Formats: sequence, C-alpha cells, structure tokens
Amino acid sequence: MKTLLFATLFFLSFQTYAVKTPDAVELLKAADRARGGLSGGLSWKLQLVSKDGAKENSFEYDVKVKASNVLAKCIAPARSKDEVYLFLDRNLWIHRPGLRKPLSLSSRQRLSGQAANGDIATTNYARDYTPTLSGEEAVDGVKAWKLKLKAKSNDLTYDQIVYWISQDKLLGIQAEFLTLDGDVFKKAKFSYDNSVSYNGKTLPFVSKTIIVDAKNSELKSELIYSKPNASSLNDADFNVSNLTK
Amino acid sequence: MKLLAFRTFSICLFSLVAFSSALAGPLFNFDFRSDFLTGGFLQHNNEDITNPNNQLLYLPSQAFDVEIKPTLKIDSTHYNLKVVLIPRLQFHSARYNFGSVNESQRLADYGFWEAYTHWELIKNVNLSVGIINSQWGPSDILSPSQFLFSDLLIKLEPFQSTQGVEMAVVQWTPNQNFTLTGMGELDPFGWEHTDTPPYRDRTSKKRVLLRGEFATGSGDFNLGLVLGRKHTDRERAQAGSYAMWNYTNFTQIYYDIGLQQGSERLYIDDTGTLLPAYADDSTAFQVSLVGHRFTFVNGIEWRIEYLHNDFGPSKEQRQRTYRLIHATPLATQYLSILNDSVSPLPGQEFIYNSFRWDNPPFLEAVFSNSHIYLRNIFSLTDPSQLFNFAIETSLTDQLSHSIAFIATSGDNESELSSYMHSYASYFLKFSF
Repeated sequence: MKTLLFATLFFLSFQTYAVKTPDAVELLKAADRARGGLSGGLSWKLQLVSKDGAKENSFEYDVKVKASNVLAKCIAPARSKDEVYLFLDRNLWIHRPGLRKPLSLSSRQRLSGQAANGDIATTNYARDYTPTLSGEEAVDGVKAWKLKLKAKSNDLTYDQIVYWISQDKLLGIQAEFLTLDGDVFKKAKFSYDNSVSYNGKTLPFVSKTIIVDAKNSELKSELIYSKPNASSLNDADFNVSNLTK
Repeated sequence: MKLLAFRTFSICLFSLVAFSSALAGPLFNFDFRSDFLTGGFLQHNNEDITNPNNQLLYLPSQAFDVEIKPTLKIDSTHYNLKVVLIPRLQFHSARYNFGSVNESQRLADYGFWEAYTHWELIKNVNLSVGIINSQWGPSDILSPSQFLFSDLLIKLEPFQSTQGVEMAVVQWTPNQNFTLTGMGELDPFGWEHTDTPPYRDRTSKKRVLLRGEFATGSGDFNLGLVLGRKHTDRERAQAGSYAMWNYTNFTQIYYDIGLQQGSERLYIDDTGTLLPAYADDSTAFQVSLVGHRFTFVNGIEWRIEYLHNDFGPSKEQRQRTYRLIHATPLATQYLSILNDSVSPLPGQEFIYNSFRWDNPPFLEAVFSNSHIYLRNIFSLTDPSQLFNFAIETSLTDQLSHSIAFIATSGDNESELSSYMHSYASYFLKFSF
C-alpha cells in the first residue's frame, strides 16, 4: 500500500512538473500535427483570400501532403485553374497550363498576398526551428505557452517566430513573425474547428489562419481549410515528372 | 494540316472508344476549362538582304487573332484512365508587306493542341498516347536534351502556347526520386509534314528516346540522361544530359546538353556549292547550355545562360553566305542556310539574360497575379541583340491580359537583327 501511495505521489509530482516545464520541441511537434505536420498522407481543401483594403483575391487549392512534400492544385479562379505547385521540402516547382514543363522557383518568389509560400504549404516548425520556452501568457482568455523560435537555416520563410501554444489542447493559436532585426512584420491567429481521424484517433485540425501585416492591418490573408482527410498517398505523386499529368 | 487533323481525329476517336468502357463504370469525373483569347500584334520586319522584300519568309507586318481553346478532362479512377482533349479553333487575319505591295490574308485554322489518353497500366507505370506536350530540363531559353521539341522554350509573348507532338509515352515513376521514360513519335502511315519555316522542323516523324531522371528527396538536385535516335536523311544517334543544383534557397546552377551524330543542315563551301551537311557523320554536333539562377530578396529572379549551338551558322559561314548573295542577289538558295529550321537560333554563341518578377508589390494594388519579364539575347559573334519586355496581369478572376515588346539591335546581316526590327502585341484572355 505504501509502495502504491509513493508511486502515485511520484507520478502526480512528475505530471505537475511536466505541465509546468514542458519540452519545447515536443510542444512544437504537437502543435504541428494540427497544422498538417502528420507523418502519413493528408489532404485538404484550402481557400486563400488575400485582402488589401477593399480589394480581395481568392484562390482555392486541393492540397496533398506527405512528410515534407506538398502538392497543391489550383481549382479556382478560372484564370489560374489547373496550376500545380509542388513543394519538395523547401524547394518549389510550378506547372501552369500552356507551360511546356514544370518550372523550378525559389522560395523567395511569392505566390500571393501576405501568405508566404511556406504558409500555403504546411507547417513543420519542429523540423525547421529551434524553440525556446519563454513563459506563459493568455491569448484571448486561453492560457498558452510562449515560445521563441529561431530558424535552423537561413533559407526559411521566417527567421524568427514568437509562437503561442495553448496549454489545454497543445494547439498553436497565435504567432508573430520577425525580421532579422527582430521587428514584427506579420501576425497570425489560428482556429481549429476541423478534425481529422489519424491512427484511430480524432485529432483537431486547423480551420482558419489569419495573417496580418504588422504595419498595415488592411493587408491580410485568410487561409481557410476544409475537408481534411488522412489517407495513404503514393510517393510517385510527388515526383516532378508527374506534375504535368 | 488536313493530315494532322485526320490523324488527330483518329487518335481521339481511339481514345474515346477506349474510354467508353470507363463511362460504363461508376467512377468518372468530367473537368472543363476554356480560354478565349483575342488580340494582335504589329511587327516591323527587316526586309533587307536576308529576307528581301519579305519574299522568303512571308512575315506578317500586323495580325489580329481570335482563338478558342477549351480543355476537357475525363478521368476514371476506377479504370485508372484519363482522356485529355484540348482542341484549338483560331481565326487569323494578317497583313503582309512585300516591298511596295501589301496583301491581306484571313483564315480559320483548327487542330488539337493536346489530345491524349493516359492509362495507369500497373502501379506507377503509365502509358500515354496522342498529342502530348511532355518536356523537361532546368533552362529557360532552350532545352538541348529535349530532342522532340527543338525550338525556343521562352515565350516572348506570355499567352503563347506550344502544340504537342503525336507520340506514345511509357513512364515508370517508382517513387518520388526516379523516373524512367520511353517516348516514340507516332508514325503509323509514314506521312510527313512541315510547318511554316523557319521555326518548326517536323519532317522527322521517326524519333524515339529514353530518359532517366534522378532527383533528391528535397528537390535540391536532379540529374537526367537521355538517349535518342531519329531518322531524317539517315539514322542518327542522339544523347543528352541535364542537371540542376539549388546550392542555396536563392541560387541554382544548371546545365543542359544535347549531342547528335552528324547534322542535317546545309553549308556553303568555298566554291559556293550548297553542300548537304558534313560528309563525316562521325562528328558529334552539340547544343550545350550552362546557366545560373539568382533570386533577390524581393523575389526578382535573374537567370543568365550561355548557349553554344553547333547547328547554327558560324561567323565564317554567315560572311561567306552574304558575300555570295552580294555577288548574286537572286541566289536565294544561299539564304536557306541562314533560315535553316534545324537550328533553334541563327548563330553559334549566345548569352541569355532574364529577369522575372512574380506579383511585384507595386502592381498588387491594381492588378492581381502579375508577372513581369525582361529578357535579352546577346550574340557573341556579331554582336547583335534581342530585347523583350512582357507583362501579364489579371484584371478579374476570369480576365487577364498581356503586353509584349521586342526590339533588336544590329545591322542587316547580323544574327538577331536580320529578320525583325521590332514587335509589339496586346492580348486579352477570358477564362471560364
């Protein structure tokens, strides 16, 4: 009985310790899972709305993801229909109707609006950034861990990110994207009204991301996710040679 | 054109018959999009010594086009089968200057830009048959290892598109990293046709090639090897290779090389005789290209490519040709070596510079989805130059338009300025 009591106390004390000082990398991995960072195949529909004051542009994509590879096919508007984007790790290929062959583009080339190519593709912060836990803060009434992320290489979309992960569900709920000088140039908020079945579990999945220019709130992009589905995807779908098919 | 249309019709009919079984299945999807294109161009031709009074090349001085190009895709996941049909109907009105004489021409043209059936025979092995546009390579101006499409890759007019080639393609992609492709032109009846010179060479319909490509999982590096064979005046072996390496996220280095046993093109010897190619077919002719891509922080992409082209006339050949023409002004057969469609560019050594800017911020307030291109082709022989500025922007979700300008510099006997002085175009595209 004494042994059981000691074991229970030990377990509870460990749990308390774990909640208070979570591992920053594990936090990131958990948050990534709800933003497309699952290891198996995953697909969803994405609507990207870029706003500049009253001016608005909207694109819709069918997105397939496997590991760090992303295939996004544009389905609307009509002028961009059938454009295909292939993100292999951080390298981008694009094919448009009328083009003879897939084009290789640098990640510095921008697809649309405030959303960078990396935002459209997927989120793998645990792979790309070194996190440091810097404290706790409430975001819209939700208790959250505050992390500072530093890019592991200089070829990433953002050099530094301040990222808030909710303590209850371990979801990334807010981010600030920083320049090399440490100035905030974009802010983002994330909602999780979708869910996806994965390995027999139902996991929350991102439903909306709003990215706003830090200096001009008229400039913003909304990424609206729908119909997430975990499924087995063929590696060959992510072969550049199959982009034109 | 009628033969092409007939053969295309046969291929599509075959595709639809093959697909009819799929229609009986429970799983098939139809997908449709269409482009309606209208616009025109003005062109100031050089009608001096290389194309005297425009009697050789019949280049238009102005043109107006209306074009409808729908795309229909029908696919059955149940039968692993897909049919793609892209017919094009074009109404073309052009005006030609022949010295002091002007002529107008109006015509309606039709054909299939692409039309093919695509089967997944077994997992990761596909067979495509029909009119197909299947190309590769990292370069911008030309892809020398692409033996089935030998003309320039760059679209000096943004909405310009390329017609596919009638062929069968078997492709094995076991994973993300490796591709093995076999391609052969379809020549069931042994017919031949040539499109308008000097830009197209479709006289050979008996070309086959095998391509293997390896790419790293991150996409940072890829390498392709191509082996080919074609039958024109005789059997000729071909070999090619291409590779690209992203050594940072904003810099890329690449090459693309094509080699061929002998050449079909014509040369003038010292006596002024037009010789059919080199007698020695053991000589390897090459088109080779090395390039570098740099992307600035603001997203502007700069490419520089060096191109060596054995099939183009050398400086000595060009000078000899003009010497003979000056001596015999009506010796038009000599001009054929300068207008030879075997060569993709009218010379041997070129530097190509290109700046491309996608979605520049200063245009985003007015236009969405805009692309700006600034290009220069520089001959290292003359030196003559070709400048191209083009801009493509979207006006609405359905409507986009493009403006393009081309200007050349050099004298009447220079490589890039002997055909055209300038060109300006405006096109409007409605997509639905």
